[in-house]
Amino acid sequence: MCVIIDADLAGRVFATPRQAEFVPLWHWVERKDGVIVYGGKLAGELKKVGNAWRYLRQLNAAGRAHHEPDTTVLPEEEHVAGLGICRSDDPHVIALARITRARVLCSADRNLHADFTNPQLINQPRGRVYQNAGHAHLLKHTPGCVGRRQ
Amino acid sequence: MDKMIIEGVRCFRSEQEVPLAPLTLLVGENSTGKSTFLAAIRTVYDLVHAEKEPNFNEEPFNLGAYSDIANYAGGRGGRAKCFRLGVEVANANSANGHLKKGVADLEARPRADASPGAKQNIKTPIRLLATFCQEASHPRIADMRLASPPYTIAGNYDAESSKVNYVLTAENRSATIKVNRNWGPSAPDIRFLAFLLRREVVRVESSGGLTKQDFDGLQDVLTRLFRTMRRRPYAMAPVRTKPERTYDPKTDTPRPEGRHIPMVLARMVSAEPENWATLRTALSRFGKACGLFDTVTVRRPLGKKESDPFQIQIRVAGPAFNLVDVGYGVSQVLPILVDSLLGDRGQMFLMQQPEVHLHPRAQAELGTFLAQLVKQDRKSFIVETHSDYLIDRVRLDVRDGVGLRPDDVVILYFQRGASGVKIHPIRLDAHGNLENPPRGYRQFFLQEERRFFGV
Repeated sequence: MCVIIDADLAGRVFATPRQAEFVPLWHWVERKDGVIVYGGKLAGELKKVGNAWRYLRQLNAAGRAHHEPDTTVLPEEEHVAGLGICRSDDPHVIALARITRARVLCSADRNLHADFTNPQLINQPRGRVYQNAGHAHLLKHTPGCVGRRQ
Repeated sequence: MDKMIIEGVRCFRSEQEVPLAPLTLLVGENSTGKSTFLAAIRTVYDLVHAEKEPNFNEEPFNLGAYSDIANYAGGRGGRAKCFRLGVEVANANSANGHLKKGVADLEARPRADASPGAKQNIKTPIRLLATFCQEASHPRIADMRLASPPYTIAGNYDAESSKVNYVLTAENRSATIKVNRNWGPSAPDIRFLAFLLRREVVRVESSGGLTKQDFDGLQDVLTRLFRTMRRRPYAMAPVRTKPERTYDPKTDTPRPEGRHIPMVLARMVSAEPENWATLRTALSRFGKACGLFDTVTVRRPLGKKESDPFQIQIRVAGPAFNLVDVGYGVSQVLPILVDSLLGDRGQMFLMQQPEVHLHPRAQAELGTFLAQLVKQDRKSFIVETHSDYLIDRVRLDVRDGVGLRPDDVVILYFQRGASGVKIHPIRLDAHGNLENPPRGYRQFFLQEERRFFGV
């Protein structure tokens, strides 16, 4: 039910006109039950991405984007980094997924893909990586995830 | 009041049970029944406390005659034969459910003389529901039901006998009291019933299968309801009165549009200097926080007596100006601020667009202002608003833990549909995020934003 959009891909996800590979993702968020999750260091990174931040604010006001505050993300980020098994330099993204139970990631970072799908870091259910329209089947309900339930 | 029940009123066709919170924000497009909902809240209070039947046309609400109030479905559905309004008080021991714990505990403690039956229902919710039907073109209470397990009270008017019948039930025992319309209220009235129950003679004459404990229990239910809904909601008009350069001393009787405010200020300056100092400080705090004004003062240029004309002066970063010479937003928000600050602890306020004529910065600050009054004075506000800034500030205050808890706030989204308007309650989580909003919520804003981006 929740998706994390990494800053490295946010420019393309929020691009205008919409890119074909992300049309199912937007349909899910804007028309169905999808919720974009952001917070911690990722929120700071997304603020620098052109249209992304402005639209995220509107999505948040509409209950379609969930902001997780630093107070919960930072301690978890420290915990994840302390495990010493992350290949990427994005433990904050892993921390965000663990807190919110978001299990779908949009990112171009191969190392982060490996971390996000590593069951030692994210499990029950495992993380999945959305990269193109063929992955639309990943956009589904995750039990316990923050956000909309209708 | 924890829950409103509304059915068949104007745009609300089917029955809806709507939760209320200390700070309830009503949002939605125009003509979706937000003001009607506010009027309904005051009406259910009047079911409990008013000395006469509810007036649907008391300022600032003007709902009209029965044909204007009852839902009109069109076609075969036609106009509703009756409509219903009600209220549920989940824990009648605490006013609006958020009295201080000590006070709530005190009120929850059974009286020394309370019967076993009275003790039994100390924390059961109380639900009051009235059915209104048309009589001489106006709504009239045809039926009223009050339930707080194991007790129920049902009142209705029997046209054949010209009597109002009250059926009192406790579990499987019941008794009926019949009151001739000529010497009692001509419609079911729980205040009158409470009066009757206090009369032991009525109990004997109409005891039926009820025991003394049952009567005590029924009376206790009524007492708890009266105690919980003891203050009438204070309703404010959507447009406040125009400012004047000079005011003649007149009455300071509260008026929905705030005409009384200058006189209230003038009276406090001369008669209640300590209270005035407290009020002036609170006004200044709000004014400075949003850049609207620094201070509010009362000036009497033509004499010092209380009967002399006076002026309201506003200081904004420099010399003082007359109220009419500063931004219109000041005179529009002043009644909101003064009435809210001077209201009794625990008072409920019904507000319509308190943000009109205010800059977004002041709109946001108004959100914090209301949140603080909820937190500090246990006041409650039902606010009809179109201000994103006010709502966002409330969310931020919840997130930052500076005023409200998530449970203190509910956003009621009024959404128009094929079968009338549906009210969706939206709660906040501890981070100020919206929980479970319906699909249509803020769809227009998202569409506008996408259009802006050229999507």
